[in-house]
Amino acid sequence: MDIKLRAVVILAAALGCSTAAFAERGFTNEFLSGATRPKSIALLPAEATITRQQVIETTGLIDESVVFGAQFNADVAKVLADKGYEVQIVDSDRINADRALQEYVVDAKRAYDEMIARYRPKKLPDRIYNAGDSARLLASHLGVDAIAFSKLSITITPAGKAIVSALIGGTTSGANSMIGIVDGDTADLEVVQIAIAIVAPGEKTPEEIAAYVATLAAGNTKRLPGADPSQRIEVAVSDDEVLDEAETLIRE
Amino acid sequence: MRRALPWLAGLACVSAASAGGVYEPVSIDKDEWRLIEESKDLEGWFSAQSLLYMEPKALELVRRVGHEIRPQPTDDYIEYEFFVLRDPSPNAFALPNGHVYIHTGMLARLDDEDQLAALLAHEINHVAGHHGILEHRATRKKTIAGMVIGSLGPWGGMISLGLQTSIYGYSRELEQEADDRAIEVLLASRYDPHALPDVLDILGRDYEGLSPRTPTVWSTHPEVRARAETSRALVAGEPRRERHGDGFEAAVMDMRAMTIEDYVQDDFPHTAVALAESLVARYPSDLAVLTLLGDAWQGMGAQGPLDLESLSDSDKRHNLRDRARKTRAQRLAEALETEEGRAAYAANLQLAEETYQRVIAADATFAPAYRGLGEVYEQQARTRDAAEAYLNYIKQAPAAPDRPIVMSRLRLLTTQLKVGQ
Repeated sequence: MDIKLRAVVILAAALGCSTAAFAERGFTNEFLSGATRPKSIALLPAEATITRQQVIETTGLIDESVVFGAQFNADVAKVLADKGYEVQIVDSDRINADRALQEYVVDAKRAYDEMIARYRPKKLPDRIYNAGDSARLLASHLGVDAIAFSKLSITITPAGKAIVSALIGGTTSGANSMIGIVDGDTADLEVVQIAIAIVAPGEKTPEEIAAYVATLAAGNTKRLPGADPSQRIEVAVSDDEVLDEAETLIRE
Repeated sequence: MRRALPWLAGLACVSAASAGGVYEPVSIDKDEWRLIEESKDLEGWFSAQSLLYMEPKALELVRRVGHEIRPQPTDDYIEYEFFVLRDPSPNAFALPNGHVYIHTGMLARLDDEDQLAALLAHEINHVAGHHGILEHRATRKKTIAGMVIGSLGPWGGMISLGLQTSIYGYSRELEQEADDRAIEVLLASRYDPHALPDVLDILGRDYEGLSPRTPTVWSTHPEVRARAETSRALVAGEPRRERHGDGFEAAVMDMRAMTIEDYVQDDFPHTAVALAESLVARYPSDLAVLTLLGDAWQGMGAQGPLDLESLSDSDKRHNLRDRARKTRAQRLAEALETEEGRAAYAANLQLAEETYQRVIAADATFAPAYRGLGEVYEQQARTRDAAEAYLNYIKQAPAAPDRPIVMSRLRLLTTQLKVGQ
């Protein structure tokens, strides 16, 4: 084979492999195969951080963060539903009205935060990330197969601040978000999807912020495969059968 | 240090102007009003994150004590209100608008209402002394000079720079002023002023050998022990007063248990063991408390007892870095590769087992002990014993919320038993 042609073929093969690898990044193999892919997912309130960087200080847009966090979840829920998942949006009103649920949510979120702080993408297939019993309790309480935790951050920087940042360094505008899906049975981390959006310097209207939120939600869900209940491994034996069998085996 | 002197001198002037027991009003500009608005909005944000702890007994206790000792606001932008945040870190903070937040992890460590009053008196004085606004002004100056915008802690991204000092700590001078004034508040109340050094003693304890600890108002101030000594000297001449403990215990008991469970979950096992042991010492026949101690021993994994005196700052920083990089399972696996780790693991599981067995010996129907026992046996690879313990758990608590979790373990153990036959 001509050496140039061979180089092109090798390059194409490498590109093909890396594209395939990229497509699989952020999922466990079992999620991709369908074995641990859920039928139902609960979306916890997104932890949204919308901040306005100014030349001197930073302002947290607290009310806006709550509103756009809810919009993010609604956008994600719509995509997931379109992909065939049964989706529960667990909003803060529902959580705050149910003491046990609040307990479970706060515990599970803390466990998730601890876990995700140590997350390294290459290690995801090794199943070393587990959110513990609090996530399993929450999934059981909600009656779902998986829990989705999400964070999004949008930083708005006026042009003046952007110039200062360019000159002497500092935070610039931008937007990013991350969704992590934890299996309700095992509490293993199955999916981590990260999205970014470029935010041009300058003030932003609520409509513009909403557009960034929509972009992030789409970015977090576009590679997520559709629901496939036929592949999910389910427990076939009833509780009573297990209890009887355990009793017999222990007596033996 | 020289750079800090001018604004420290400014703060000293403000403090001097307000000396004599009563703080003067401080007028604020438009920019500082935004700080007040943000302070108000934070309540909504905490609520949206489901972090407001609304259990009536604990909340009523904090609000009752806070309202009892709060002064008349000097400014129309101050309105004292008290909240409990569902967070196991030992922290409390006051925002410039008068909203005072105390973490469950802080409340759970206190012994009586007087200590709560001391803590709230300290926080109230940050508000009454306008410390948030003063530090905001000082920080603004420092920021203009350095053009540095940082963020700290779990809410760092959300909390504006202006509010960060309110949450993560004031200057040493303002902390001392709040301590000094807290004693005045306590002396004017029915509470024991000796409770303040007690609170500072409690907060000075580092159970885990990690440095720096999670940044909080208290832990970022290494001189918390020095502050305890200073406040102890200030109250030395004051007679001790009868402490108010009964109602306090009833109001925070559930929270104490929850906090110990939080420490087990979050892998702060030395803290969990210390708090559980102190509870067992007070309530030796309380089976729920004993079970918590078993859970705490189990949570120790392969960690041996810590000799905090022999740990250098470098050791503590290493511990913190290790913790930040590796999962709990990874650290456990590494520890089990050493003789020392295996011995500690076996000893901790043994202690946990003995504790659960004590509970079961006292009441064979107490379900949570069976679950703990099952977990211990699973870790000891005693499959049959683990299955039996879980079976007993399900029998004693058939409708327990964690039944699906225990059933999935029992399924696995049953399969292992069948394969082993």
